[in-house]
Amino acid sequence: MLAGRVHVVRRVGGAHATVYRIVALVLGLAIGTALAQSYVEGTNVYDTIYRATVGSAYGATAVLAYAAPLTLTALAFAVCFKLRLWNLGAEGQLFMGAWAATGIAFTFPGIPGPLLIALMIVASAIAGAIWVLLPALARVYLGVTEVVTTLMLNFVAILWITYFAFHVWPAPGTPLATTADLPERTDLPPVTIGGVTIESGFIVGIGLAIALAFAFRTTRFGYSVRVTGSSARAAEYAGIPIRRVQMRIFLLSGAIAGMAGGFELVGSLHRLSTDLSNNTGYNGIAVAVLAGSAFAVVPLMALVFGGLLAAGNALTVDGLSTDATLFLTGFVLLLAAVGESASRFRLIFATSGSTAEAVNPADPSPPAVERGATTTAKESA
Amino acid sequence: MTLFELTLALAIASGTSILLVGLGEMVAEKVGVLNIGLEGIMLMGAVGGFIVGVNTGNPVVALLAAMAVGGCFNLIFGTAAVALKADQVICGLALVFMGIGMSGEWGKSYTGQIPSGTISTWRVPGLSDIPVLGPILFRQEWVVYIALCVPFLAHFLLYHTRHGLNMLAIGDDPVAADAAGIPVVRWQMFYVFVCGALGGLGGGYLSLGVIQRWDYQLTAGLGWIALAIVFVAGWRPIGLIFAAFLFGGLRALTNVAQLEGWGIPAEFLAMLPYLGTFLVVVGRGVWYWRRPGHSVAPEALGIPFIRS
Repeated sequence: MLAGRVHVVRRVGGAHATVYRIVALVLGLAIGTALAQSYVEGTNVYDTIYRATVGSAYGATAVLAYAAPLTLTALAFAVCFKLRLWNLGAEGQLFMGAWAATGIAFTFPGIPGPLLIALMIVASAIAGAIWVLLPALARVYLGVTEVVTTLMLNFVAILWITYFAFHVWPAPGTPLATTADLPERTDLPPVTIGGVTIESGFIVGIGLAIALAFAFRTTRFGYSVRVTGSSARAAEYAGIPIRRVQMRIFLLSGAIAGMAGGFELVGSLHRLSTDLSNNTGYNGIAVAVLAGSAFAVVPLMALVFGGLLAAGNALTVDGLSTDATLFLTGFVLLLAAVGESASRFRLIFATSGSTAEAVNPADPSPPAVERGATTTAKESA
Repeated sequence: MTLFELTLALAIASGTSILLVGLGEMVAEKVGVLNIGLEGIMLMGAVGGFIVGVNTGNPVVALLAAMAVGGCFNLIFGTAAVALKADQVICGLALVFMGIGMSGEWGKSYTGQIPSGTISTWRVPGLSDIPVLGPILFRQEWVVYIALCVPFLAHFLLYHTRHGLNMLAIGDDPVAADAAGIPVVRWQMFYVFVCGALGGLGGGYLSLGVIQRWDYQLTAGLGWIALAIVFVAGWRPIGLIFAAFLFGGLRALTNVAQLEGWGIPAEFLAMLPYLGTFLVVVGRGVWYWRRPGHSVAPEALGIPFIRS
């Protein structure tokens, strides 16, 4: 298809990764808006989007509410991605974090508010870390791919939450899978500036992003992560305990995702249900990719993505379906991935007689390479 | 039908679906392309096949349409991940979102409808007369028999033809394969299409044959399990048959147990397929720990091919 005439080659220097990411994002949003306008006739989509995001205090509050847990789940993904490890289980870790926090709130009713909130957050971080522990051990010590294992545990976590919401801490008089409201002492009040409410989770997210960016640049652990991430072999020569570094990264990632659940609980929703996350764990991956896994950029991209979700939500009133928003989320993620690769590679349109023929001799029946043959022997053994 | 028969029938039906999808994923992974977007592909095939099935009443045409929809949908992934070298895991995830969204949008007006024309069943002469097992195992829809044949075809293709050698070469060392004159990107794109087509067929069989209606997100995680069984089967097509029916059985057991209510909360039963997949994938890792000589993943799996 593309082979023969178009070639992909590595960029040599001068790559402006951020530019490509922004181009991808703008392109995605523009196409999304056009798509929305084609669906929704009569109303001015641009006006709705403006009011639902930056144009009103209500809109800004909604964007920030979306951005708060997204920042944390995106940081969780970005932490793992520093070592090219895939934590696709932020969704499940978030739920388990919220579950642990709920358990603390219901089990220790006598503890004063601030202490209880602190305990809940710690518990959510520990629960998130525990939820990633088995996939992490399997990946680091057995080489079992974490892509599958972390994903599988997401489904388990959601069912676990459903069970507890229905049978252990059910809210009286509702058929829905939701627990009763947590005691009011556990409400962590948000900050309100000029009518715009900022959830505590977002402030924590910004703090954490800056702290991580700083720590990865200055501490010994951050250094070993950077070395291991760029070349595992070099790290081994340098005497860095790679497996220990990988395990710590996994647990840190799980803890951050768990805290996302804890902060959603105390900062915004105040009761445990399966509605606690609407793909927040997965959307966090998109945010992290858009941010190029740079910690300090994550809160910014979380705001942009939160704006996308808030706009999509506002447009459902005008007839845009949630499915269209979901499709758009995927499309932006795809474009972000392409933008990421465009910052590293470029296309060459080769004319006839150029390098293409030199590298790829026009041999009508190429022989099967020997490497394949040895592999076959190994496979069938 | 007795409970045992019902379980077995359900196991075969869902096992067939994930066998087809898993096989598509396996051939793509053999040429080094990791596509985690199977859930999205299945949904697109399911909705595409269902719409054509309702409108034409011809299940063969409907299943072909499901394959076409799945294949073309996966070319979106191919364009981004194979041609433009974007990250395969991220593109796969994007495909899931796009598939859920688009299938939900397409299927909206088809919810609650019933496809006219059912997939015809084949009786295996002689064997289908065995009491109890016969009617279940040997009186199945033709898709089941095709699904059972495809892994053997794939095995033959991969391990007994020159093209199969080329595929394995692409999956293990695309740079060397390219140097040997194999058109790497072309074959990767081709098998991405095949992956989509088989995924679409698996989804179409689910909506037209197994469930016989369209529901929002009717695959309910089967696509993820199909992804996992490729790992469970150790990238061996024949092994995939066992893995698929093991998890089909687990899922059927879940459904039946929920119907029967054996005193186990429904939520825990519903965990079984996912927990089972998790345990088998990890268990396989424990089993093969420091044991050389077993079949492993294609070495360049998930790594975009760049010449140079």
